[in-house]
Amino acid sequence: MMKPLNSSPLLEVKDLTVTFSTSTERVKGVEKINLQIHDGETLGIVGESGSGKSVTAYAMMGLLARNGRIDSGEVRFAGQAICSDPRALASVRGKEVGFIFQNPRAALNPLIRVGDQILDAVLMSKRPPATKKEARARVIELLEMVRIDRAMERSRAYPHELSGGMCQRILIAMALASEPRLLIADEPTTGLDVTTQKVIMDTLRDLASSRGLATLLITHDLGLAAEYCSRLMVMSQGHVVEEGDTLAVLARPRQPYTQRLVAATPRIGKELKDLLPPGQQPPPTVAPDQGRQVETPALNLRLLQVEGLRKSFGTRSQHRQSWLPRWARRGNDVCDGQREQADALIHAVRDVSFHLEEGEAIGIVGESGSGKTTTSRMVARLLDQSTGSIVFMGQDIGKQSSRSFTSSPMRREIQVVFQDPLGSLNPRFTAYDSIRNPLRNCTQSLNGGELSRDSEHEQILAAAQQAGLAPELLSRFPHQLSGGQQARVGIARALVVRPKLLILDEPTSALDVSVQAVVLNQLDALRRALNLTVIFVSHDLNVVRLMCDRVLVMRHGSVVESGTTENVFTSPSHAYTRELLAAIPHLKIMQEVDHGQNSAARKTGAFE
Amino acid sequence: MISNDISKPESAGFVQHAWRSLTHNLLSLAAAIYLVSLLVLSVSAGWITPYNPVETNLQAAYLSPSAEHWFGTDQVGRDVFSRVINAAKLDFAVAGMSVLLSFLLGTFLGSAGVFYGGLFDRVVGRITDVMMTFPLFVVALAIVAALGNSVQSIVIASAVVNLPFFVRLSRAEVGRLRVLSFVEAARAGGNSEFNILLKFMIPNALPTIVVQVSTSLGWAILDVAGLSFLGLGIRPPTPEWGIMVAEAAASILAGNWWLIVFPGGALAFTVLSFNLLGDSLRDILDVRFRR
Repeated sequence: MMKPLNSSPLLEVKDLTVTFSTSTERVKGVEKINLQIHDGETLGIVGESGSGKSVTAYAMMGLLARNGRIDSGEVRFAGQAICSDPRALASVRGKEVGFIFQNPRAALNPLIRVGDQILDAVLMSKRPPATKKEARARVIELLEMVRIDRAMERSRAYPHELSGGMCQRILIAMALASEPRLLIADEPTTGLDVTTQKVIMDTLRDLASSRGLATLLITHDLGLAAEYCSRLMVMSQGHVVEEGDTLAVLARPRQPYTQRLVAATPRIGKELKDLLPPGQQPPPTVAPDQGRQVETPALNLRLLQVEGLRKSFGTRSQHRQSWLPRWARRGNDVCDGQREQADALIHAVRDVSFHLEEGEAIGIVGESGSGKTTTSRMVARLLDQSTGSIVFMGQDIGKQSSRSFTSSPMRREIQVVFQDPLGSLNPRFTAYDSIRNPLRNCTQSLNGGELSRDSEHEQILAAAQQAGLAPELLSRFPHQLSGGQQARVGIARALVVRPKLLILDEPTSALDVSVQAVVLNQLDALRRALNLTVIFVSHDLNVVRLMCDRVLVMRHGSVVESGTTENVFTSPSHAYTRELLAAIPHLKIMQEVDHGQNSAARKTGAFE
Repeated sequence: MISNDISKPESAGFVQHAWRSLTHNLLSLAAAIYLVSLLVLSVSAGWITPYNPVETNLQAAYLSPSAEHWFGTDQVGRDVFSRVINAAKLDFAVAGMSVLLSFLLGTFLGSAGVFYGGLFDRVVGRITDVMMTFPLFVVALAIVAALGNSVQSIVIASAVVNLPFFVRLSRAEVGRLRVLSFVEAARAGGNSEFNILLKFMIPNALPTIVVQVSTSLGWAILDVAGLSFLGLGIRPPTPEWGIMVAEAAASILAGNWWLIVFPGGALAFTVLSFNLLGDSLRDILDVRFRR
């Protein structure tokens, strides 16, 4: 981070203010942003949703949405003012400055082979190759640069034939085609698996250091920024809150907002309550459950026993298409090897067995496609298993089809909090209706009669209170609530029928870390107060470590490792678990930060 | 009752929201004003029109528009203004009935089909496809010819030709909605499949389908007028826009322009207005557009 102070910055932004016009007024996007990036430097802009971090980057490059406007400020690239001059902007954008976006698949044209898309970028670059042949060679060279093996073959693939991580690497190759001096990466790995994230970020870092490329990394993930950025800029509500060297910002955050953000990021050595901002108590005590008295946890009372659970897809459609000639069947692909695979059954889950004692919390972790969600859906009876038994409260509910289970009296005992807080709520139901709906259904099927209106109302309010949802929010529609509030509606809806088993499917993955901290604490408090048994499905190992007693690690549909959380995290026995743990960016650096904080504290103590 | 203030949240703000959506789009507002005033006029036609729409007065034939006869008079001296207004009542009623039929049946068939899948869906889907291979107006002609010349057969014919659009649209909408995660949440909440279809799928598909309702109303009116123009269904001397245009066609060369301009214009503006209104109707009905 030592660089000559007199060198002029590659990109300099002065007092940038952006406003957006809505139908009624002009709202501030960002206000008075100042930033500098030097050659070869990696600057991270971190902040929660709505902090203005993306707006800053888009405004600099003239990519604002139509209703956005730069009100004042100056943007200079290599000494040249680009903000007010469209021609200067065009000469810089895509040539001196490359972009990578979130959701790589959406950024690629689905109908054009990826090699041809890179070729376009090569031909549009500052110094296009003289011949088509040279250009093609350059495409392969770029693909190899972003560590895509079998580059020749892959260049002929269409975007849908490649994984998300591969698509992101294609985009990086396209961004690098014109040998830019600055790369702007807007949440480049959000939505990708942690191991993929690590590969992408390592590639970016190596390219930056070997080519002297400056990088602007926009991310909500403090851990990611900590590991890959030399300088950090923390933004909140359109303002720069704090800026400085990464370690300085993280180890000694000066502003309360940064302190809260650092505290809320889960990592080893932190307890759940540590995530909450200093001074804020763990969530208010949960109202004691009146309807069902809390039994003292009886030891060795086995609530759930899952044995040999298996789910395969593909049989039916294959059977149905068997009269077609081989080439006309669905699922055939360009490569012969893939065709063989497509014809075979796809095993989403194979032979998963586990058990749960009453009051226990088990975490199922894994990357996308590991079968963790499929497993949880089968246990929740939202999906029929191919084989295997699910014994819940002494009864094999696996024998009941998922369709008939909706009317079973057991339905209320297993409830699910879904991943997407907004998407899992009926857009036309108010929060109140959403919570009332399962209560009505389940009490009807249980008693054969309806609850009285007053007692129904009371139960809804109680559930909302347990989930930390203010009563005045109950009349709102989902889109009128914030992400955290939507998540709370989802929790209240699951709790209102007083289930025994609560399945949490990535309940906080769509939330900002500070909101996540509060929601996780709330869930943990509820679990203890109501003696809930919990299955926690997540890709985020840090969160699972905080919430669960035991962990199952899944990969390609099988459980590769299981054990107590403590054991799995401190001494993982399977190579994949170790790889997974190593790929999490937060752990190492933030641990050092914690360590640094402690030693700093000791030091100051010694001096005083 | 403690629950009343919380469990009844929707009524508040709907009128405001509807008004805001309409004023946001001035063309839709104009269309709405035109349609509402035409509707009010036609419903109260018995009291406000100055003349009996079927009463002839050969002394007063072919009078051009004046203070006495705003839209002039026709070949047998009937007041064109009275006839245009009275015709609106009939056209609105017939079109409204037929679209209501095709909306209810089409939405149910389409959404139930795609939601439950299986043979039912395939049969419904293929029948829809086959229907759409025919020129729809000719189908309507055939139906009226087969069922006999009556107002009911026009309603049925028009309903049948509008049906495929509702089936297709609701199939597409419910097909999109049924894989969203709130459906899974509804199953976890113990809703039966029928309940999910009724409370979760169709209400969410409605805003889109209502646009089709508005467009179809326009088409249905065209169907009714077109059939009557050809002499099917409604018969003279009943006032109907298509009939009036057909009768006027004979005398247009004589320079009696008002005979064709007023009923033809009413027809054109009505169809146009229904099309313009559809856009705003979706904004009005979709709660997500509410602030």
